[in-house]
Amino acid sequence: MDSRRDLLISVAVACLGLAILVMTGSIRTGIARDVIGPRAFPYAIGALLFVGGLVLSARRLRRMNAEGLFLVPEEGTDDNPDHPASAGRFLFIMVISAVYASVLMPLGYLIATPPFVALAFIAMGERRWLYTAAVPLVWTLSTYLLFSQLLNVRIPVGPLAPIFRELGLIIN
Amino acid sequence: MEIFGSLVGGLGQLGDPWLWSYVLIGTLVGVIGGAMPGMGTTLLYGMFLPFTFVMEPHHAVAFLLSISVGVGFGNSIPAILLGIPGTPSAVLTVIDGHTLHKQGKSGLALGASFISALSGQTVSILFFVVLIVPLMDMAYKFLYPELFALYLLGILAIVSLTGDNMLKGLMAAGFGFAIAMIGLDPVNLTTRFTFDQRILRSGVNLTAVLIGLLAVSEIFRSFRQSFNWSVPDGADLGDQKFPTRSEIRGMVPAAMTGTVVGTFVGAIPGAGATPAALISYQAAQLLSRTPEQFGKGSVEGIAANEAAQNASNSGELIPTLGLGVPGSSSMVLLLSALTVQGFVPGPLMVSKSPDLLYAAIAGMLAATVILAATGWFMSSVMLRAVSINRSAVLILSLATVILGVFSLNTRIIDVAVMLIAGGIGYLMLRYGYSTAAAALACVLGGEVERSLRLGLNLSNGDPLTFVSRPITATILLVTVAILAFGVYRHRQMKRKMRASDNLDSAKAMRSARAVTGSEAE
Repeated sequence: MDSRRDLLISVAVACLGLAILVMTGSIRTGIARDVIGPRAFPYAIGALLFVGGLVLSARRLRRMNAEGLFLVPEEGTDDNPDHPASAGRFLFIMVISAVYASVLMPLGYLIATPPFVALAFIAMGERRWLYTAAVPLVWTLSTYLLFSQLLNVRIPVGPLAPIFRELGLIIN
Repeated sequence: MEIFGSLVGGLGQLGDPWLWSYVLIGTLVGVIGGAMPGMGTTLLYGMFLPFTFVMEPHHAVAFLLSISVGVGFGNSIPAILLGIPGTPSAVLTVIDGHTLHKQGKSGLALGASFISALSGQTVSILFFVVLIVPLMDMAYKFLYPELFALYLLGILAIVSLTGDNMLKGLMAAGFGFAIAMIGLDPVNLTTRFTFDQRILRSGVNLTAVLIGLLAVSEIFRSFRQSFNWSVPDGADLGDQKFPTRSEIRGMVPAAMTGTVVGTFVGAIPGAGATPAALISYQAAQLLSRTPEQFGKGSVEGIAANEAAQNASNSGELIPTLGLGVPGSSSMVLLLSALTVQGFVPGPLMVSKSPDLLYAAIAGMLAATVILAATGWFMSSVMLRAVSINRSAVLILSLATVILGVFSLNTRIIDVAVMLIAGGIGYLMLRYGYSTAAAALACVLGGEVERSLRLGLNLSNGDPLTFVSRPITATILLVTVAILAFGVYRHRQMKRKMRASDNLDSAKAMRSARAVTGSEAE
């Protein structure tokens, strides 16, 4: 584990605590009888995160200074030691997931899903092109039918809506 | 409520063909998912949770529990035949089961796992009923101070027993509380942390947050590595002879030890299947006539381990349904499913809706029956589950949870919340902040604050009310004891790791987590 990133996260925790402490001051108190009021709990949580984050940061800094090492034993979940790991791949898939979520309504599920799944396959190193094209298509169609027809969930279909309405596949 | 009445109620639900259909699907999903390394109960719950919202509540409970039952058995198949634990709790099955497989006794190992999983599950259902009914009868004695103490116990137990760094666990819980504070204040109904956004007035969608923290985080973490599990060329299934009667008789004491330990350890919030399996294994070794065989292909070792894993399913349900305090990540998701269905978590939940208890009993019993009928056949077929394309499983799991969370309210904002929670959960997993503690604090945060404030209001602001009442004082004492145990365990683990480079249990679990994923219980 990279201790600098761990330090960064501890600092982020402290900042979150500080932000909660600052924002709590603007919470309006209610009119009902309330011994400690709506601010007490946020103050306590803010203080916990702020102090805890600072303690974790101080501990990490002290160890970094004492040992002079940036790579320290994992405190979280290790990667599988037999295979290379890439944070870039995770980041790429997270970004395309966010893009997918943002275009799901305007483009519709049937148009937005296949490229999302196919891109994720490519990111994971899949190079069988027929597989990369076929699985997303089959997956998209089958899940659309399952959710929209069997589970009665309104799945957005974007520009295909007029066609689907004409075919009677969606009612409004 | 009577113990006998609960059992009859559970058996009564077995007449429902829809329940059997859902349980059949759930058990198969559980066995297949359990056989795939990295796919544990929590991830499967995350994937299938949205489907439960169209089910009746009792069907949803039975369906989700049948997944747990399936996983409890499925994870032993690759552990025995390939030496790869399906979930961390199966790591000890690798040691004895895979050794037996290499000795050409695969049938004995798989049979021991099969019989112990079934017996552990069945007997633990009786323990579950015997333990939960008195808890439910006590529920009416729980006023706000007791509720506060109870919720605090649940959260601090998870902080204490999960993860290696308790302070990070506490920060994770604090983060969960912070999410729970968004929206309307639970007593005065004034808005907090809404940034004047109408959409935040009712808070963030907790189900989306929980699926993000518990399931998507693990999927994101798995995306870091691209590889496939494979069945080695020429891997044979060994002999597939079912164990003989005398062999079965020999494993009964160990399986019973595993069942008792598994149920009780599973009932401790934060403990779950892995510690249940580890403690049962040690207990069975202590009671065994051949303790030297443990680790070298002991049938008793497999029996204790497998029985404990399945028994812990029933154990985890005791605080979840009996008190409204989920004992593990998967139970947080189960409770979340019930919350979406309109149930309010708390000690009165099952007392007011005993159907949930009956459904839990029926679901676990039906899953055990289905496992008994199909498990032996599946043990050889499911070996193929290991070689399913890992990347495809991960990508399609992510696509499923996105569609599932979107279908909750057909709102993109829920998907965005889930992805953000998944990203934060990924960092938490990587840097040792317990996602289970954050998720539990998310679920119970509002109730903790409400019971604290209403309790103080009712006692005119006297905080002594929270320590002077017998039930509250007892719960708080247990909380302190669990915290002290957590500190002791943390220090002991640190000392061990400093002192020895050998593969101690902590390191074994760490390496198992690397293979199977941290939350893959």
